[in-house]
Amino acid sequence: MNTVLDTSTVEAVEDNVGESMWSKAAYKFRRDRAGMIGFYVVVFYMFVALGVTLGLWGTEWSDNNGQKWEGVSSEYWFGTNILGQDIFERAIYSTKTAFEVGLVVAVISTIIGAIFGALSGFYSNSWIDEIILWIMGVLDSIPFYLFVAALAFALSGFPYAMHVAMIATFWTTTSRLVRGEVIKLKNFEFVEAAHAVGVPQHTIIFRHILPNTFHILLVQSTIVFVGAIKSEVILSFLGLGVKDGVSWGLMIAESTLEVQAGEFANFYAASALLFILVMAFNSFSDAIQDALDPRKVSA
Amino acid sequence: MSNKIPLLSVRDLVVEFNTERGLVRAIDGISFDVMPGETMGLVGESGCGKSVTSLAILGLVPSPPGKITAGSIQLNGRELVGLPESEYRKIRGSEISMIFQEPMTALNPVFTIANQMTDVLARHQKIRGKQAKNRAIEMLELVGIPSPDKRINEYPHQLSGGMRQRVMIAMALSCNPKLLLADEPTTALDVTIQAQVMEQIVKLQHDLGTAVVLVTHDLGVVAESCQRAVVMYAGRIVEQSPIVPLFQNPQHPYSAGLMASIPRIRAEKVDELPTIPGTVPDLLHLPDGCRFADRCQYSDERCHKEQPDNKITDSREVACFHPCGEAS
Amino acid sequence: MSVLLDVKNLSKHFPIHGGFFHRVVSQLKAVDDVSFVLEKGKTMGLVGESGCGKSTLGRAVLRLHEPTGGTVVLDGTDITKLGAQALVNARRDMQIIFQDPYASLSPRRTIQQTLLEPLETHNIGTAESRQEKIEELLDIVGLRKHILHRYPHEFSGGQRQRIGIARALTLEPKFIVADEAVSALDVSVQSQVLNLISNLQRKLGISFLFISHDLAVVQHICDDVGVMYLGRLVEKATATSLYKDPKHPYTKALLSAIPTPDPTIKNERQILKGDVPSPLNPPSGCTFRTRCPKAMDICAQKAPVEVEVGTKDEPHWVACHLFESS
Repeated sequence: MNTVLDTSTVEAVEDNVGESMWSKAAYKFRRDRAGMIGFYVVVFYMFVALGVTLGLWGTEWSDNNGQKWEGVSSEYWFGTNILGQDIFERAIYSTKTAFEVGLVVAVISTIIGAIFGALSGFYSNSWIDEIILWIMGVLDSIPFYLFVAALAFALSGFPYAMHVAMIATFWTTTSRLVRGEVIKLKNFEFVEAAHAVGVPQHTIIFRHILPNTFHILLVQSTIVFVGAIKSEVILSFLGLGVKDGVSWGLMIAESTLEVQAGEFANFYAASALLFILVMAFNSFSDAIQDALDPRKVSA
Repeated sequence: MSNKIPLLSVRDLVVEFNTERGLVRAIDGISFDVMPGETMGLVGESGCGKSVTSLAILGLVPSPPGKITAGSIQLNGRELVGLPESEYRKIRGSEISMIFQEPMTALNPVFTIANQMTDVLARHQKIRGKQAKNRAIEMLELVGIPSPDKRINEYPHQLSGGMRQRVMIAMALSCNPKLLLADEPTTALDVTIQAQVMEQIVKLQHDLGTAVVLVTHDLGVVAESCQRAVVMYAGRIVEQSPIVPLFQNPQHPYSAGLMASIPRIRAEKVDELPTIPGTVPDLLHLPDGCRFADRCQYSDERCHKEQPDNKITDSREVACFHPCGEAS
Repeated sequence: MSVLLDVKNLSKHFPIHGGFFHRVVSQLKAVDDVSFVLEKGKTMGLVGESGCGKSTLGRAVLRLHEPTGGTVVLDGTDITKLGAQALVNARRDMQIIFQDPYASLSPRRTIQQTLLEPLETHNIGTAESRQEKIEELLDIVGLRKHILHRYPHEFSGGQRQRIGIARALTLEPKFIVADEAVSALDVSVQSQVLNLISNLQRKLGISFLFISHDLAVVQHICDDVGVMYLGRLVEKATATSLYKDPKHPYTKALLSAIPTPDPTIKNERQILKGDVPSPLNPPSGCTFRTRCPKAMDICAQKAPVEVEVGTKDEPHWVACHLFESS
C-alpha cells in the first residue's frame, strides 16, 4: 500500500466553490456602487459604438441637409452645426471613433508593455534590461505632441498614424509597472521551484510570472484607454488626429468658431459626452483596482 | 489564590472581526489575571487569538474590521475597554508597553535610535534634550548594548536583529511600565541571540519588577522564563496553570498533545513523533461543542455537543470534560 | 555503504559591486570550501543560524546557484561540469522542498498544473499515466484527489507543504534538499510533516539534505549532522555523536542555547557574546574566534582544518584548533 501516512491526519478541505482571485474581485466589485454605475455607463457607450459600426445609427454624420445653426428640434436632437450637419449624429459617430482608438491603443500597448516589462524585469541589470530601459527613457523624453506630429508627417496618409504614435509612447508606463512587479516575483520560491524542475526560462516568464501581473495589466489598460481617448481629442483639435470621420476632438475644434458667434450646441454636445465617458471609466477603473487589491477590506 | 490584587484583569473578553467571509470571533470569552511582577506565558498556535489578545489589551485592535464586542480589561482596577484614544495614549508606553515580533519593521528606519527613544521619554516622562538622551543611553546599557553612547546615534539598519530587539526592549521599558506585552519577541531571532534576549528580559523584569505577558508558541521559552502559563486554542483558553505542574502534568488534551509533539532534543531517537491529528478549525465554521473535540482522543458525544466549563483545582483551570483521560 | 553525493571544496561567492561602473569591490563568501559526503538512503542535517550559508549551500549543490568553485558528484556524475541540457536531465535526480509554503506554489496555477509540470517538462509518460502518477503522489502525502482543481491560496500551510513534497517526488529523484521544510509551519503540524518525510525516506530510499536552524527537528530526522558557521562547515558527525558529545565550541553553544521545554531543568547556558560578524568582512583565521570562549592566538592566524575525532562506526570530524595535535 502506498499511503505512508494515516489518513486520519488528512485535513478536510472545505468544498466551497473554487475561489480564484477573479471571483473574489468580481464579488467586491459588485458591491462598489460608484464602480457599478461607471461600468453600466461604459457598457452603454460601448453599445452605442457597436451600433455605429454595424450601421444602425450615427450614419448621417456627414450629411449637411439642415440649416446652419438650427436649434434643438425633433429632427435634430442637438441642433445643427455651422455646416448644417446633425450634431447628434456626429456626436454618436464619435463614440465609435473614441472606442476604436481606445481599444486599439489600450490592447496593443498593454501587450507590448507586458512583454518588454517582463523581459526587462526578469533579466534586470543585464544588457537586455539596459537596452529596454534606454528605449523607454528615450521615448519618454520626447514631448508627446511633437512626436505625434513628427510621426503623422512621416507616415502622412497612413490613417493609423495617430494610433501608432500613441502606442509607441503609452507602453512605457505599463512596462515599468510590470518590470517592478516581475523583479519582485522572480525572487519568489515558486520561480525557483520551476527552475529546479528544469522548466526553461522563457516558459517560466510567460507561464508563471506574467500571469501574476494580470491585475496590474487590467488596471493599467483601463487607464490607457481613457488616456488614449483624451489624447485623441487634443490631437484632433490640433488637426493631427482623425482625418476621415468625426470625433469629439474634431467637433470641439470646429466649435471654436461657432462659440465666438454664440453657438454652443456643438461644443456642449462633444464635451458632455466626452466628460461623462471619462468620469464613468475612471470610476470603473478605480473600482477594479480596489476589487483586485487583496489588502483592502470592504465594509 | 493569594489575596494579591491582580495588575491586569481580563474578563469574558470577546473580539470580533468583520471579514469578507463573515463575522469571525478571534477571541471568544477569555478571562485571566496577571499579577504584579509575574511573567505569564500566553501559548498557542496561529489563529488561537493570542496576538489579538495583546492588541486588545493595548487598544490596538484594528478597527475596522475588528472590535471588542464584550468583556472587560482592567488595569489596576481601571477599565480600559471603551477608553477614549486620548486616554489610551497616556497609558501606552508608560503603564503598558509592547514589543513586537519583527525587529526589522518595528523601528522606524528613517529616524535614529536616539530620536525614537527620546521621543518616547518626552511623551511620557516629560524629559527632553540632554537629560532624555542620557536616560536613553542608560537604558541601552541596561539591555546590554555595547558602546551605547555611540550606537544610540545610529539608524536601525545599522544594527543587527538581536540589537534591534534589545533597543525595542529598552524603549518599551524606558518609562518603567507596570506591564510589558512581548509578542513573539524572539521568534524571528537566531537561537543564540534568542538566548541573549530572553536573558535580558528576565533580568530586567527582576530589576524593575515589571509584569510580563509573553505571547509565544515556543514552549521551551515558556518553560524557562514564565511562572504561569495560559494555553489558548481557537479563540478560547483551554488551560491555565503555574508552570511546573503544567509541564509535568498537563490537563487539557491539547496542552498534552502540544507538549508531546514538539520536536525536542531527546536522549533516544523515536521512530515517529507523536502528533495531534487534524488541524485547527476554521474560525468561520466552529463546531458546536468543544473546539478541540475533533482532534481529541478522549472526546465523546457530550464533548461534541456542549462547550466544556471551567474546572478549577488549586491554582489550575482547565476547560475540558475529560481532563487528560479522566472520566468526567 | 555507497556514496550518493560527494561534495568537494564547494564555494559560492557573490561579487559585491560598488563605485563607478559597477566594479567588483569585494566578495561575499556565502559558502566557503565545504566538503561532505552523503550516503544512499541516508539523511544529512545541515544546521546553523541565519547567514551561515546553509540555504546557499543547498542551492549550490543543486546548481540553482552556480558554484564558484568545487565539485558536486551525484551518483557518479559531476554535475558541476554538465552542459545546459544535460543539467536539465540531471534535475530528475535531485529536487528541492522550500521553506515558505505561501511562496513556493505558483499562485495562478492549479495544483494539477503544478504537479503535472515536471512530468511535462521532461516528457515522461502519457496523459493517462501522468494523471495516475500525480494521484498516486497525493495519496502518498496524505491529500485527497479532489484538491487538484484548486488554487494554492485555498490551502493551509501544512497542506501546501505536502503539495510541495508531492511535487518534489514527481520525478522520482534520488536526492532531495529540504530547505527549512517545516520551519514555517505551526508546531503541531511540524511533527506531522516530519513523520511524512522520514517515512518517505525509509520507504522510497531517498537521500535528504535537511537544512534547518532547529536542532531538535534535525536530531529526530537525520542520520548525520553538519554544523555551519559563516560559510564553513565546522563540525560533522552522526546525529547520536553530535548531540551526545559535541566538540566544537559553537556546536556546544548552539545546543545549550536551545530552551528546553522542561521548567525543572536549569540550563547551563553558554551565552555567546556579540553578534555574528558580517560575512562581507569575516574575521581572519577561524571565523568563529570573535565569539569563542576558548579562542587562542593561533585562531587569528590560521583557519582550522578538519580533524577526525570519532571512530569508524561513528565518524565525527571537527574544524577547530583545540583538537589539532601539535
